[in-house]
Amino acid sequence: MQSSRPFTDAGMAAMAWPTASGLPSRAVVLGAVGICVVLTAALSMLELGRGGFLASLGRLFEYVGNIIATPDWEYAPTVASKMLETVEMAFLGTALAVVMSLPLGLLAARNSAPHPAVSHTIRAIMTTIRSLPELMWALFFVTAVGLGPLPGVAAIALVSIGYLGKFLAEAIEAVPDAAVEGVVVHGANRMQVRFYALMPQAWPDFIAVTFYVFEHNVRAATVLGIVGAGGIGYDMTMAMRLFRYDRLALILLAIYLAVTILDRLSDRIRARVI
Amino acid sequence: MPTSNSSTEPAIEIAGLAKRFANGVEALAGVDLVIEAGSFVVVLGPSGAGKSTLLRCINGLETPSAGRTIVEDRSVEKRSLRSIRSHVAMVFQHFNLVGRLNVMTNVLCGRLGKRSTLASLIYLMRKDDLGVARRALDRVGLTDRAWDRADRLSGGQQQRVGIARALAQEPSIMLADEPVASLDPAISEEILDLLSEIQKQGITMVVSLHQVDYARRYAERIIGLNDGRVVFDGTPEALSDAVLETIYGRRNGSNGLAHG
Repeated sequence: MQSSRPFTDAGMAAMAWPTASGLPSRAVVLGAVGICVVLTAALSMLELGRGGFLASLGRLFEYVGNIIATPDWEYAPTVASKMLETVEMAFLGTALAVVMSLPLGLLAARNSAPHPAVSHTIRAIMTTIRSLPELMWALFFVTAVGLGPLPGVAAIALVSIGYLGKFLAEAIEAVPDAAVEGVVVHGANRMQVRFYALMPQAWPDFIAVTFYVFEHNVRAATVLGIVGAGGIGYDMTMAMRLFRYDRLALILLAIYLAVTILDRLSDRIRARVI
Repeated sequence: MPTSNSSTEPAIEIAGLAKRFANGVEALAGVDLVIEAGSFVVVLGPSGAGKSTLLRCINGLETPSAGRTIVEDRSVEKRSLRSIRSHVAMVFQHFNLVGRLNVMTNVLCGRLGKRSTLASLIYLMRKDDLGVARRALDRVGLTDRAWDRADRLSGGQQQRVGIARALAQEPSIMLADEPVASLDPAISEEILDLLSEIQKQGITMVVSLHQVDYARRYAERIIGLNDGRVVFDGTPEALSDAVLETIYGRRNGSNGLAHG
């Protein structure tokens, strides 16, 4: 190891990193090298070398050009009603999940569960639910109850329970003991502690997360139609398969508008709640 | 000093109380104490002397490793906790309010121990409980803030809400754990004056403090605690500088007075 040179160089300001050794931290260097290695490996894996990339770029532009075709405006009412169905699926699924996750969250939170075993069990169940995406659960429910929005709603509700239950449990665990003690000390029983200390402190976080989950569910609901679980996804795949780019353009526009509007809306409501 | 007209029956009896925490810290090393009903007792001592632990053993927030506590003829144990807590109120250093609930609901928490679960779970209160809470808020001078969220109030106001919550319980004993440690001097005196008035209406008051001047001014009896042991027990007049040296001196001995 060379000792660092004294900072006497004329003309140029002597510089060093703000670490003990004056060198950048090892974690940063290793991280940067690691990222470069992974990217290089990925390049060859994706066969992006040479002509492949440029050629596929050409095809991409051609496809995008097709989509920007004149939309089939007569198809608009159908798209609107299917988009509404999609949003309704997301809304219903989220609402069901909120109702179900309230007791589950209370049972899963370590400071609220009646017994640690209950907390562990509920958490394990919720992890299992979350391990599959909505699309897989939708496939499962379509097979079980048939085509239509019902399996879609069931899939969305189930996965959302997995997330909302976990988030609620974490929000409850984050409630400081001080608030709990302030209520406990006046003779409140366990149930009263949950309702007068834990829930009031936890629910704004829970509401905020619920809006995010709803937004996610709207996007998830748009693809569930691919497996026949209702919503605009079915029309989207059909338009793609039939090369009806004029309809596809309209569908994509509808999804964009719906997601954007709901996003803004939920931002506003969330700001009010918190 | 007006004499309290209560008899000398004990409100709290503590015998051989010891508490060793899981991390090995010995907070209380055998405390024997009898606190008379209706008195104003200040537990004085430096940080870490065991003041909080002593108070928290009285209402069962801590489970002692040895010894026992009897509160108004009832032994503090798991079975009796809820009924003991329903007439032993507590005021905290950091107020311990539920910040997102409004002031009124926080005060009503003082009634929870006396009420069944079912109605309280939909936040439905009895009219007479609301009356009790309103009178308690009136007492601490915060009626006009009843519907504000508790975390919107200043520190001094939050401590008043804490006291109103304690009052709403209609307790016979009030424990105040460093009630003024987070407040400025002017507010501190207001709070201690309030506690003193409450005591004069016949509620036994046990207050832990680390400020000697407040202890001298408000206490009828001072219990000096150091390193988990009672090192002084007497009137404020008996609290000499030599005694303060024992209260605030470290066991391993290098420094004397920690606070002026």
